[in-house]
Amino acid sequence: MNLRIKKNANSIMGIVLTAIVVIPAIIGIFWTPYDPETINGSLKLAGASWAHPFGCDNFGRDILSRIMLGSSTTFLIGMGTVIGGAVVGTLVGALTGFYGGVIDEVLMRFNDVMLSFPSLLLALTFVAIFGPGKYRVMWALAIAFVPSFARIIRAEFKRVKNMDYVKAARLSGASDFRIMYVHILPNTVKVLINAVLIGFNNAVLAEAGLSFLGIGVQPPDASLGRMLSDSQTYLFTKPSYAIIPGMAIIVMVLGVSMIGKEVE
Amino acid sequence: MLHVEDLNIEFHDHIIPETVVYDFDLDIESGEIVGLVGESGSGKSMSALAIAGLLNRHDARKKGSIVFEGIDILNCPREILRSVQGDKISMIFQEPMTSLNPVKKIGWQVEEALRIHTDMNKEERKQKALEMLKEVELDDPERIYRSYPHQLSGGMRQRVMIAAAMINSPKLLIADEPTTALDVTVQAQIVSLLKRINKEKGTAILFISHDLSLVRQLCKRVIVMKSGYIVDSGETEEIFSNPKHEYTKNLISSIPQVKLD
Ligand SMILES: Nc1ncnc2c1ncn2[C@@H]1O[C@H](COP(=O)(O)OP(=O)(O)O)[C@@H](O)[C@H]1O
Ligand SMILES: [Mg+2]
Repeated sequence: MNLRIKKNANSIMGIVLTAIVVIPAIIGIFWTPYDPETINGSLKLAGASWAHPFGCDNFGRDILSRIMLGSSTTFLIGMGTVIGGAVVGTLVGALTGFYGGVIDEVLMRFNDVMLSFPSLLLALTFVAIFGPGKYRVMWALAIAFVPSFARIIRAEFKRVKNMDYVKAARLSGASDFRIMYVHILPNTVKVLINAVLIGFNNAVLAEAGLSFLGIGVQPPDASLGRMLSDSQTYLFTKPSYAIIPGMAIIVMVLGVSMIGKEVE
Repeated sequence: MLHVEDLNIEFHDHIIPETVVYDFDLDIESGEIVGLVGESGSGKSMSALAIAGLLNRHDARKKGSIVFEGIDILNCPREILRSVQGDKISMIFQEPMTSLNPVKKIGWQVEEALRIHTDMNKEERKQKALEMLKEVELDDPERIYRSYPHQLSGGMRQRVMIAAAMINSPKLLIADEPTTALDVTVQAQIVSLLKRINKEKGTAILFISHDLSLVRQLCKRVIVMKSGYIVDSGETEEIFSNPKHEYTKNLISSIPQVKLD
Protein backbone atom coordinates (compact mmCIF):
# COMPACT_ATOMS: atom_id res chain seq x y z
CA MET A 1 0.00 0.00 0.00
CA ASN A 2 1.58 3.20 -1.14
CA LEU A 3 -0.51 6.26 -0.53
CA ARG A 4 1.20 9.54 -1.13
CA ILE A 5 0.31 13.18 -1.33
CA LYS A 6 2.03 14.83 -4.26
CA LYS A 7 4.38 17.57 -3.19
CA ASN A 8 3.43 20.70 -5.05
CA ALA A 9 2.14 24.21 -4.43
CA ASN A 10 -1.44 22.96 -4.37
CA SER A 11 -0.95 20.36 -1.69
CA ILE A 12 1.26 22.58 0.46
CA MET A 13 -1.31 25.38 0.25
CA GLY A 14 -4.01 22.85 1.14
CA ILE A 15 -2.12 21.65 4.19
CA VAL A 16 -1.44 25.22 5.35
CA LEU A 17 -5.08 26.27 4.92
CA THR A 18 -6.37 23.17 6.71
CA ALA A 19 -3.87 23.67 9.53
CA ILE A 20 -4.93 27.30 10.02
CA VAL A 21 -8.36 26.08 11.14
CA VAL A 22 -7.67 22.59 12.42
CA ILE A 23 -4.77 23.38 14.77
CA PRO A 24 -6.72 26.03 16.75
CA ALA A 25 -9.69 23.66 16.66
CA ILE A 26 -7.67 20.84 18.23
CA ILE A 27 -6.28 23.21 20.86
CA GLY A 28 -9.86 24.41 21.40
CA ILE A 29 -10.93 20.95 22.52
CA PHE A 30 -8.66 21.28 25.58
CA TRP A 31 -8.07 24.97 26.13
CA THR A 32 -9.46 28.34 25.06
CA PRO A 33 -8.26 31.83 26.17
CA TYR A 34 -11.59 32.48 27.90
CA ASP A 35 -14.52 30.31 28.87
CA PRO A 36 -16.49 30.35 25.60
CA GLU A 37 -19.81 30.35 27.47
CA THR A 38 -19.24 33.08 30.08
CA ILE A 39 -21.59 35.99 29.44
CA ASN A 40 -20.31 39.49 30.15
CA GLY A 41 -22.76 42.37 29.57
CA SER A 42 -20.06 45.02 29.64
CA LEU A 43 -18.26 43.46 26.66
CA LYS A 44 -21.35 43.13 24.47
CA LEU A 45 -20.30 43.39 20.80
CA ALA A 46 -16.92 44.77 21.90
CA GLY A 47 -14.48 45.49 19.08
CA ALA A 48 -11.05 43.93 18.64
CA SER A 49 -8.57 44.58 21.41
CA TRP A 50 -5.39 43.02 22.79
CA ALA A 51 -7.48 41.09 25.30
CA HIS A 52 -10.05 39.97 22.71
CA PRO A 53 -8.36 39.93 19.27
CA PHE A 54 -11.60 39.10 17.42
CA GLY A 55 -13.83 41.11 19.76
CA CYS A 56 -16.87 39.79 21.61
CA ASP A 57 -20.32 38.64 20.54
CA ASN A 58 -23.78 39.86 21.49
CA PHE A 59 -23.49 38.20 24.92
CA GLY A 60 -20.02 39.59 25.49
CA ARG A 61 -18.39 36.15 24.92
CA ASP A 62 -14.87 36.08 23.50
CA ILE A 63 -15.17 35.36 19.73
CA LEU A 64 -11.69 33.82 19.46
CA SER A 65 -12.55 31.29 22.18
CA ARG A 66 -15.85 30.51 20.54
CA ILE A 67 -14.24 30.13 17.12
CA MET A 68 -11.74 27.68 18.56
CA LEU A 69 -14.43 25.65 20.27
CA GLY A 70 -16.83 26.05 17.34
CA SER A 71 -14.26 24.86 14.81
CA SER A 72 -13.52 21.85 16.96
CA THR A 73 -17.22 20.99 17.21
CA THR A 74 -17.65 21.36 13.46
CA PHE A 75 -14.43 19.42 12.81
CA LEU A 76 -15.48 16.58 15.10
CA ILE A 77 -18.97 16.45 13.59
CA GLY A 78 -17.37 16.29 10.13
CA MET A 79 -14.96 13.54 11.22
CA GLY A 80 -17.63 11.56 13.03
CA THR A 81 -19.92 11.80 10.06
CA VAL A 82 -17.42 10.57 7.49
CA ILE A 83 -16.03 7.86 9.74
CA GLY A 84 -19.51 6.56 10.54
CA GLY A 85 -20.69 6.91 6.95
CA ALA A 86 -17.52 5.37 5.53
CA VAL A 87 -17.42 2.39 7.91
CA VAL A 88 -21.07 1.44 7.44
CA GLY A 89 -21.03 2.38 3.74
CA THR A 90 -17.90 0.30 3.13
CA LEU A 91 -19.45 -2.67 4.89
CA VAL A 92 -22.67 -2.45 2.87
CA GLY A 93 -20.87 -1.67 -0.40
CA ALA A 94 -18.35 -4.48 0.08
CA LEU A 95 -20.95 -7.15 0.81
CA THR A 96 -23.35 -6.11 -1.95
CA GLY A 97 -20.61 -5.56 -4.52
CA PHE A 98 -18.93 -8.85 -3.69
CA TYR A 99 -21.94 -11.13 -3.44
CA GLY A 100 -24.41 -9.43 -5.80
CA GLY A 101 -27.69 -11.28 -6.04
CA VAL A 102 -31.08 -10.39 -4.62
CA ILE A 103 -29.91 -8.63 -1.46
CA ASP A 104 -27.69 -6.45 -3.60
CA GLU A 105 -30.59 -5.54 -5.89
CA VAL A 106 -32.92 -4.70 -3.01
CA LEU A 107 -30.36 -2.69 -1.06
CA MET A 108 -29.18 -0.79 -4.10
CA ARG A 109 -32.70 0.16 -5.20
CA PHE A 110 -33.25 1.42 -1.65
CA ASN A 111 -29.92 3.21 -1.95
CA ASP A 112 -30.94 4.85 -5.24
CA VAL A 113 -34.05 6.21 -3.58
CA MET A 114 -31.97 7.60 -0.71
CA LEU A 115 -29.48 9.09 -3.15
CA SER A 116 -32.18 10.83 -5.11
CA PHE A 117 -32.61 13.16 -2.12
CA PRO A 118 -29.86 15.70 -1.49
CA SER A 119 -27.96 14.50 1.61
CA LEU A 120 -28.77 17.76 3.39
CA LEU A 121 -32.48 17.10 2.97
CA LEU A 122 -31.98 13.55 4.14
CA ALA A 123 -30.06 14.78 7.16
CA LEU A 124 -32.87 17.26 7.80
CA THR A 125 -35.32 14.38 7.94
CA PHE A 126 -33.17 12.45 10.38
CA VAL A 127 -32.68 15.54 12.54
CA ALA A 128 -36.45 15.88 12.58
CA ILE A 129 -36.63 12.29 13.85
CA PHE A 130 -33.72 12.42 16.34
CA GLY A 131 -34.08 16.07 17.39
CA PRO A 132 -31.30 18.71 17.35
CA GLY A 133 -28.02 18.75 19.31
CA LYS A 134 -24.44 18.12 18.26
CA TYR A 135 -24.31 14.33 18.68
CA ARG A 136 -27.69 13.83 17.08
CA VAL A 137 -26.63 15.97 14.11
CA MET A 138 -23.59 13.77 13.75
CA TRP A 139 -25.72 10.63 13.75
CA ALA A 140 -28.18 12.11 11.30
CA LEU A 141 -25.42 13.17 8.91
CA ALA A 142 -23.61 9.85 9.22
CA ILE A 143 -26.75 7.94 8.26
CA ALA A 144 -27.44 10.35 5.43
CA PHE A 145 -23.89 9.77 4.13
CA VAL A 146 -24.02 5.96 4.16
CA PRO A 147 -25.70 5.57 0.73
CA SER A 148 -23.11 7.52 -1.21
CA PHE A 149 -20.22 5.66 0.41
CA ALA A 150 -21.99 2.35 -0.16
CA ARG A 151 -22.42 3.11 -3.82
CA ILE A 152 -18.81 4.12 -4.38
CA ILE A 153 -17.38 1.10 -2.55
CA ARG A 154 -19.83 -1.30 -4.20
CA ALA A 155 -18.69 -0.15 -7.64
CA GLU A 156 -15.05 -0.63 -6.61
CA PHE A 157 -15.70 -4.13 -5.25
CA LYS A 158 -17.57 -5.07 -8.41
CA ARG A 159 -14.66 -3.84 -10.50
CA VAL A 160 -11.90 -5.50 -8.48
CA LYS A 161 -13.61 -8.83 -7.77
CA ASN A 162 -13.39 -9.84 -11.44
CA MET A 163 -9.68 -9.18 -11.71
CA ASP A 164 -7.47 -12.21 -12.30
CA TYR A 165 -5.57 -11.55 -9.08
CA VAL A 166 -8.77 -12.06 -7.12
CA LYS A 167 -9.37 -15.32 -9.00
CA ALA A 168 -5.81 -16.24 -8.13
CA ALA A 169 -6.46 -15.41 -4.47
CA ARG A 170 -9.59 -17.54 -4.48
CA LEU A 171 -7.61 -20.30 -6.10
CA SER A 172 -5.04 -20.16 -3.34
CA GLY A 173 -7.88 -21.21 -1.06
CA ALA A 174 -8.60 -17.82 0.56
CA SER A 175 -11.97 -17.44 2.31
CA ASP A 176 -14.52 -14.85 1.18
CA PHE A 177 -13.69 -12.67 4.16
CA ARG A 178 -9.97 -12.84 3.44
CA ILE A 179 -10.55 -12.03 -0.23
CA MET A 180 -12.69 -9.01 0.60
CA TYR A 181 -10.58 -7.69 3.44
CA VAL A 182 -7.03 -8.50 2.39
CA HIS A 183 -7.17 -8.70 -1.40
CA ILE A 184 -9.89 -6.29 -2.54
CA LEU A 185 -10.19 -3.61 0.15
CA PRO A 186 -6.61 -2.27 -0.19
CA ASN A 187 -7.32 -1.70 -3.87
CA THR A 188 -10.24 0.56 -3.01
CA VAL A 189 -8.34 2.73 -0.52
CA LYS A 190 -7.48 5.43 -3.03
CA VAL A 191 -11.10 5.92 -3.99
CA LEU A 192 -12.15 5.64 -0.37
CA ILE A 193 -9.73 8.37 0.77
CA ASN A 194 -11.04 10.72 -1.87
CA ALA A 195 -14.62 9.96 -0.91
CA VAL A 196 -13.76 10.59 2.75
CA LEU A 197 -12.21 13.98 2.01
CA ILE A 198 -15.11 15.08 -0.17
CA GLY A 199 -17.53 13.67 2.41
CA PHE A 200 -15.79 15.59 5.18
CA ASN A 201 -16.31 18.84 3.31
CA ASN A 202 -19.93 18.04 2.62
CA ALA A 203 -20.42 17.20 6.29
CA VAL A 204 -18.88 20.51 7.39
CA LEU A 205 -21.14 22.40 5.00
CA ALA A 206 -24.15 20.34 6.06
CA GLU A 207 -23.48 21.01 9.75
CA ALA A 208 -23.20 24.72 8.98
CA GLY A 209 -26.44 24.58 7.02
CA LEU A 210 -28.39 22.71 9.68
CA SER A 211 -27.07 24.87 12.51
CA PHE A 212 -27.72 28.01 10.51
CA LEU A 213 -31.32 26.90 10.16
CA GLY A 214 -31.38 26.49 13.95
CA ILE A 215 -31.92 22.73 13.92
CA GLY A 216 -28.29 21.66 14.29
CA VAL A 217 -26.00 22.46 17.18
CA GLN A 218 -27.96 24.16 19.96
CA PRO A 219 -26.93 27.07 22.23
CA PRO A 220 -24.89 27.44 24.33
CA ASP A 221 -22.74 24.96 22.30
CA ALA A 222 -20.66 26.69 19.65
CA SER A 223 -20.13 25.48 16.13
CA LEU A 224 -19.21 27.40 13.00
CA GLY A 225 -22.74 27.08 11.65
CA ARG A 226 -24.25 28.04 15.00
CA MET A 227 -22.07 31.20 15.12
CA LEU A 228 -23.11 32.15 11.59
CA SER A 229 -26.71 31.77 12.64
CA ASP A 230 -26.22 33.87 15.81
CA SER A 231 -24.45 36.61 13.90
CA GLN A 232 -27.21 37.23 11.33
CA THR A 233 -28.88 39.97 13.38
CA TYR A 234 -25.61 41.89 13.69
CA LEU A 235 -24.51 41.55 10.08
CA PHE A 236 -24.45 45.33 9.60
CA THR A 237 -23.49 46.49 13.07
CA LYS A 238 -20.66 43.95 13.52
CA PRO A 239 -19.84 42.19 10.24
CA SER A 240 -16.68 40.55 11.63
CA TYR A 241 -18.89 38.39 13.87
CA ALA A 242 -20.22 36.67 10.73
CA ILE A 243 -17.11 36.93 8.58
CA ILE A 244 -14.80 35.08 10.99
CA PRO A 245 -16.77 31.79 11.24
CA GLY A 246 -17.61 32.09 7.53
CA MET A 247 -13.91 32.36 6.69
CA ALA A 248 -13.11 29.43 8.96
CA ILE A 249 -15.56 27.23 7.03
CA ILE A 250 -14.26 28.37 3.65
CA VAL A 251 -10.60 27.94 4.58
CA MET A 252 -11.11 24.44 6.04
CA VAL A 253 -13.19 23.19 3.10
CA LEU A 254 -10.83 24.70 0.54
CA GLY A 255 -7.76 23.29 2.29
CA VAL A 256 -9.18 19.77 2.50
CA SER A 257 -10.29 19.74 -1.11
CA MET A 258 -6.87 20.97 -2.26
CA ILE A 259 -5.23 18.10 -0.37
CA GLY A 260 -7.80 15.67 -1.79
CA LYS A 261 -6.84 16.51 -5.35
CA GLU A 262 -3.20 15.59 -4.74
CA VAL A 263 -3.62 12.20 -3.06
CA GLU A 264 -2.44 9.32 -5.21
CA MET B 1 -6.46 -38.10 -11.37
CA LEU B 2 -8.82 -35.66 -13.10
CA HIS B 3 -11.91 -36.97 -14.78
CA VAL B 4 -14.33 -34.62 -16.54
CA GLU B 5 -17.41 -36.04 -18.17
CA ASP B 6 -20.23 -34.43 -20.13
CA LEU B 7 -19.50 -30.98 -18.78
CA ASN B 8 -21.96 -28.37 -20.00
CA ILE B 9 -21.73 -24.75 -18.96
CA GLU B 10 -24.68 -22.43 -19.36
CA PHE B 11 -24.97 -18.77 -18.51
CA HIS B 12 -28.31 -17.65 -17.22
CA ASP B 13 -27.56 -13.98 -16.86
CA HIS B 14 -29.42 -13.08 -20.04
CA ILE B 15 -33.05 -13.67 -20.98
CA ILE B 16 -32.06 -16.41 -23.38
CA PRO B 17 -29.66 -18.79 -21.60
CA GLU B 18 -26.41 -19.24 -23.42
CA THR B 19 -24.46 -22.50 -23.46
CA VAL B 20 -20.76 -21.89 -23.86
CA VAL B 21 -19.40 -25.41 -23.36
CA TYR B 22 -21.06 -28.63 -24.63
CA ASP B 23 -20.35 -32.24 -23.59
CA PHE B 24 -16.77 -31.60 -22.56
CA ASP B 25 -14.77 -34.72 -21.66
CA LEU B 26 -11.23 -34.73 -20.34
CA ASP B 27 -8.95 -37.10 -18.44
CA ILE B 28 -5.60 -36.12 -17.04
CA GLU B 29 -3.28 -38.61 -15.35
CA SER B 30 -0.74 -37.39 -12.83
CA GLY B 31 2.40 -36.05 -14.40
CA GLU B 32 0.81 -35.62 -17.79
CA ILE B 33 0.72 -32.47 -19.94
CA VAL B 34 -2.47 -32.08 -21.93
CA GLY B 35 -3.03 -29.30 -24.45
CA LEU B 36 -6.30 -27.52 -25.00
CA VAL B 37 -6.44 -25.46 -28.19
CA GLY B 38 -9.05 -23.49 -30.05
CA GLU B 39 -9.72 -20.00 -31.32
CA SER B 40 -10.63 -17.34 -28.79
CA GLY B 41 -14.20 -17.57 -27.54
CA SER B 42 -14.30 -21.34 -28.01
CA GLY B 43 -14.84 -22.01 -24.31
CA LYS B 44 -11.34 -22.93 -23.17
CA SER B 45 -11.21 -20.55 -20.23
CA MET B 46 -14.71 -21.42 -19.09
CA SER B 47 -13.85 -25.14 -19.02
CA ALA B 48 -10.62 -24.37 -17.16
CA LEU B 49 -12.34 -22.16 -14.59
CA ALA B 50 -14.94 -24.86 -13.99
CA ILE B 51 -12.23 -27.46 -13.39
CA ALA B 52 -10.50 -25.11 -10.95
CA GLY B 53 -13.81 -24.63 -9.12
CA LEU B 54 -13.78 -20.93 -9.94
CA LEU B 55 -17.02 -20.55 -11.86
CA ASN B 56 -19.38 -18.63 -9.67
CA ARG B 57 -22.15 -20.91 -8.55
CA HIS B 58 -25.11 -18.76 -9.42
CA ASP B 59 -23.93 -17.08 -12.64
CA ALA B 60 -23.07 -20.23 -14.51
CA ARG B 61 -25.01 -23.47 -14.39
CA LYS B 62 -22.95 -26.58 -14.86
CA LYS B 63 -24.04 -30.09 -15.77
CA GLY B 64 -21.95 -33.23 -15.91
CA SER B 65 -19.19 -34.13 -13.52
CA ILE B 66 -15.70 -33.00 -12.62
CA VAL B 67 -13.93 -35.38 -10.27
CA PHE B 68 -10.45 -34.56 -9.04
CA GLU B 69 -8.79 -37.20 -6.86
CA GLY B 70 -12.17 -38.44 -5.73
CA ILE B 71 -13.52 -34.95 -4.98
CA ASP B 72 -16.63 -33.85 -6.82
CA ILE B 73 -15.58 -30.29 -7.74
CA LEU B 74 -19.03 -29.18 -8.88
CA ASN B 75 -20.99 -30.29 -5.82
CA CYS B 76 -18.65 -30.54 -2.86
CA PRO B 77 -18.97 -28.10 0.08
CA ARG B 78 -17.04 -24.84 -0.17
CA GLU B 79 -14.60 -25.82 2.61
CA ILE B 80 -13.58 -28.97 0.76
CA LEU B 81 -13.16 -27.01 -2.46
CA ARG B 82 -11.01 -24.42 -0.68
CA SER B 83 -8.81 -27.10 0.80
CA VAL B 84 -8.07 -28.36 -2.72
CA GLN B 85 -7.59 -24.95 -4.31
CA GLY B 86 -4.04 -23.67 -4.05
CA ASP B 87 -2.93 -26.92 -2.49
CA LYS B 88 -3.67 -29.50 -5.16
CA ILE B 89 -4.96 -27.41 -8.08
CA SER B 90 -3.42 -24.11 -9.16
CA MET B 91 -3.89 -21.87 -12.12
CA ILE B 92 -2.03 -19.17 -13.99
CA PHE B 93 -3.69 -16.65 -16.24
CA GLN B 94 -3.17 -15.00 -19.58
CA GLU B 95 -2.70 -11.39 -18.66
CA PRO B 96 0.39 -10.90 -16.49
CA MET B 97 -0.64 -7.27 -15.96
CA THR B 98 -3.84 -8.11 -14.08
CA SER B 99 -2.97 -11.41 -12.48
CA LEU B 100 -0.94 -9.85 -9.67
CA ASN B 101 -2.43 -7.55 -7.04
CA PRO B 102 -1.06 -4.05 -7.73
CA VAL B 103 -0.99 -2.95 -4.08
CA LYS B 104 0.79 -5.97 -2.60
CA LYS B 105 4.46 -6.88 -2.70
CA ILE B 106 5.51 -9.90 -4.76
CA GLY B 107 6.76 -11.83 -1.74
CA TRP B 108 3.44 -11.46 0.04
CA GLN B 109 1.56 -12.72 -3.00
CA VAL B 110 3.82 -15.69 -3.59
CA GLU B 111 3.36 -16.72 0.06
CA GLU B 112 -0.43 -16.50 0.09
CA ALA B 113 -1.11 -20.21 -0.45
CA LEU B 114 1.38 -21.06 2.30
CA ARG B 115 -0.35 -18.68 4.69
CA ILE B 116 -3.63 -20.45 4.03
CA HIS B 117 -2.63 -24.08 3.77
CA THR B 118 0.36 -24.50 6.09
CA ASP B 119 1.34 -23.38 9.57
CA MET B 120 4.80 -22.18 8.57
CA ASN B 121 6.04 -19.10 10.38
CA LYS B 122 7.04 -15.88 8.68
CA GLU B 123 10.68 -16.78 8.23
CA GLU B 124 9.95 -20.25 6.85
CA ARG B 125 7.46 -18.79 4.39
CA LYS B 126 9.99 -16.24 3.22
CA GLN B 127 12.64 -18.90 2.70
CA LYS B 128 10.19 -21.02 0.72
CA ALA B 129 9.07 -18.05 -1.40
CA LEU B 130 12.66 -17.09 -2.19
CA GLU B 131 13.38 -20.68 -3.12
CA MET B 132 10.40 -20.68 -5.51
CA LEU B 133 11.41 -17.37 -7.09
CA LYS B 134 14.81 -18.88 -7.74
CA GLU B 135 13.25 -22.03 -9.11
CA VAL B 136 11.34 -20.10 -11.78
CA GLU B 137 14.69 -18.67 -12.87
CA LEU B 138 14.27 -15.13 -11.62
CA ASP B 139 17.51 -13.28 -10.94
CA ASP B 140 17.93 -11.56 -7.60
CA PRO B 141 14.98 -13.15 -5.77
CA GLU B 142 15.59 -10.94 -2.71
CA ARG B 143 14.90 -7.82 -4.74
CA ILE B 144 11.89 -9.32 -6.54
CA TYR B 145 10.51 -10.44 -3.17
CA ARG B 146 10.39 -6.80 -2.08
CA SER B 147 9.10 -5.39 -5.41
CA TYR B 148 5.64 -4.34 -6.45
CA PRO B 149 4.17 -5.85 -9.66
CA HIS B 150 4.49 -2.61 -11.64
CA GLN B 151 8.25 -2.80 -11.17
CA LEU B 152 8.49 -6.06 -13.15
CA SER B 153 8.22 -6.92 -16.84
CA GLY B 154 5.47 -9.13 -18.25
CA GLY B 155 7.71 -12.17 -18.46
CA MET B 156 8.93 -11.68 -14.88
CA ARG B 157 5.36 -11.37 -13.62
CA GLN B 158 4.39 -14.58 -15.38
CA ARG B 159 7.30 -16.32 -13.65
CA VAL B 160 6.14 -14.86 -10.34
CA MET B 161 2.67 -16.24 -11.07
CA ILE B 162 4.15 -19.67 -11.71
CA ALA B 163 6.13 -19.45 -8.46
CA ALA B 164 2.97 -18.53 -6.54
CA ALA B 165 0.95 -21.28 -8.22
CA MET B 166 3.62 -23.93 -7.60
CA ILE B 167 4.49 -23.05 -4.01
CA ASN B 168 2.44 -25.86 -2.48
CA SER B 169 3.55 -28.35 -5.16
CA PRO B 170 0.05 -28.87 -6.60
CA LYS B 171 -0.85 -32.03 -8.49
CA LEU B 172 -2.43 -30.07 -11.34
CA LEU B 173 -1.45 -26.72 -12.82
CA ILE B 174 -3.89 -25.10 -15.22
CA ALA B 175 -2.09 -22.66 -17.49
CA ASP B 176 -4.64 -20.53 -19.37
CA GLU B 177 -2.79 -19.03 -22.32
CA PRO B 178 0.19 -18.22 -20.12
CA THR B 179 2.31 -17.03 -23.03
CA THR B 180 -0.19 -15.23 -25.25
CA ALA B 181 0.61 -11.79 -23.89
CA LEU B 182 4.37 -12.29 -24.08
CA ASP B 183 6.81 -11.82 -26.91
CA VAL B 184 8.21 -14.83 -28.73
CA THR B 185 11.53 -15.29 -26.92
CA VAL B 186 9.88 -15.00 -23.52
CA GLN B 187 7.17 -17.43 -24.69
CA ALA B 188 9.79 -20.07 -25.39
CA GLN B 189 11.38 -19.53 -21.97
CA ILE B 190 8.06 -19.91 -20.15
CA VAL B 191 7.24 -23.06 -22.11
CA SER B 192 10.58 -24.64 -21.25
CA LEU B 193 10.12 -23.60 -17.62
CA LEU B 194 6.76 -25.37 -17.53
CA LYS B 195 8.33 -28.41 -19.14
CA ARG B 196 11.06 -28.48 -16.51
CA ILE B 197 8.58 -28.10 -13.65
CA ASN B 198 6.56 -30.97 -15.06
CA LYS B 199 9.62 -33.17 -15.31
CA GLU B 200 11.15 -32.34 -11.93
CA LYS B 201 8.02 -32.15 -9.80
CA GLY B 202 5.70 -34.45 -11.70
CA THR B 203 3.00 -31.76 -11.80
CA ALA B 204 0.31 -32.47 -14.37
CA ILE B 205 -0.37 -29.45 -16.61
CA LEU B 206 -3.43 -28.46 -18.58
CA PHE B 207 -1.87 -26.14 -21.12
CA ILE B 208 -4.35 -23.88 -22.86
CA SER B 209 -3.31 -22.02 -25.97
CA HIS B 210 -4.47 -21.02 -29.39
CA ASP B 211 -0.97 -21.65 -30.67
CA LEU B 212 -0.68 -25.21 -31.97
CA SER B 213 3.06 -25.04 -32.43
CA LEU B 214 3.57 -24.36 -28.71
CA VAL B 215 1.22 -27.19 -27.86
CA ARG B 216 3.19 -29.51 -30.10
CA GLN B 217 6.41 -28.69 -28.24
CA LEU B 218 4.89 -29.33 -24.84
CA CYS B 219 2.01 -31.77 -24.91
CA LYS B 220 1.71 -35.42 -25.75
CA ARG B 221 -2.05 -35.23 -25.89
CA VAL B 222 -4.24 -32.44 -27.19
CA ILE B 223 -7.91 -31.48 -27.28
CA VAL B 224 -9.25 -29.13 -29.95
CA MET B 225 -12.28 -26.97 -29.19
CA LYS B 226 -14.51 -24.93 -31.45
CA SER B 227 -17.54 -22.88 -30.35
CA GLY B 228 -18.01 -24.88 -27.17
CA TYR B 229 -17.55 -28.35 -28.68
CA ILE B 230 -14.59 -30.68 -28.64
CA VAL B 231 -13.93 -31.36 -32.31
CA ASP B 232 -10.76 -33.42 -32.11
CA SER B 233 -8.68 -35.08 -29.44
CA GLY B 234 -5.86 -37.56 -29.20
CA GLU B 235 -2.08 -37.89 -29.36
CA THR B 236 -0.57 -34.61 -30.55
CA GLU B 237 1.52 -36.19 -33.30
CA GLU B 238 -1.43 -38.26 -34.47
CA ILE B 239 -3.57 -35.14 -34.72
CA PHE B 240 -0.84 -33.29 -36.57
CA SER B 241 -0.31 -36.01 -39.14
CA ASN B 242 -3.93 -37.02 -39.43
CA PRO B 243 -6.38 -34.29 -38.35
CA LYS B 244 -9.97 -35.56 -38.39
CA HIS B 245 -11.84 -32.31 -38.33
CA GLU B 246 -11.73 -29.60 -40.98
CA TYR B 247 -11.19 -27.00 -38.26
CA THR B 248 -8.09 -28.79 -36.95
CA LYS B 249 -6.68 -28.95 -40.47
CA ASN B 250 -7.14 -25.21 -40.81
CA LEU B 251 -5.48 -24.59 -37.45
CA ILE B 252 -2.50 -26.70 -38.50
CA SER B 253 -2.15 -25.12 -41.89
CA SER B 254 -2.31 -21.65 -40.38
CA ILE B 255 0.85 -22.25 -38.32
CA PRO B 256 3.42 -19.97 -39.89
CA GLN B 257 6.14 -22.09 -41.48
CA VAL B 258 9.61 -20.75 -41.02
CA LYS B 259 11.82 -22.03 -43.81
CA LEU B 260 15.53 -21.59 -43.44
CA ASP B 261 17.58 -22.17 -46.53
N1 LIG C 1 -21.14 -14.07 -18.35
C1 LIG C 1 -21.26 -14.61 -19.58
N2 LIG C 1 -22.49 -14.79 -20.14
C2 LIG C 1 -22.61 -15.34 -21.36
N3 LIG C 1 -21.59 -15.74 -22.10
C3 LIG C 1 -20.34 -15.60 -21.62
C4 LIG C 1 -20.11 -15.04 -20.33
N4 LIG C 1 -18.77 -15.02 -20.11
C5 LIG C 1 -18.21 -15.55 -21.23
N5 LIG C 1 -19.14 -15.90 -22.12
C6 LIG C 1 -18.93 -16.53 -23.46
O1 LIG C 1 -18.33 -17.79 -23.29
C7 LIG C 1 -17.63 -18.13 -24.46
C8 LIG C 1 -16.37 -18.83 -24.11
O2 LIG C 1 -15.46 -17.93 -23.53
P1 LIG C 1 -13.98 -18.37 -23.08
O3 LIG C 1 -14.06 -19.67 -22.37
O4 LIG C 1 -13.41 -17.23 -22.33
O5 LIG C 1 -13.22 -18.55 -24.46
P2 LIG C 1 -11.68 -18.80 -24.70
O6 LIG C 1 -10.99 -18.88 -23.40
O7 LIG C 1 -11.63 -20.07 -25.48
O8 LIG C 1 -11.20 -17.66 -25.51
C9 LIG C 1 -17.41 -16.84 -25.23
O9 LIG C 1 -18.14 -16.92 -26.42
C10 LIG C 1 -17.96 -15.77 -24.33
O10 LIG C 1 -18.62 -14.79 -25.08
MG1 LIG D 1 -9.50 -17.58 -22.69
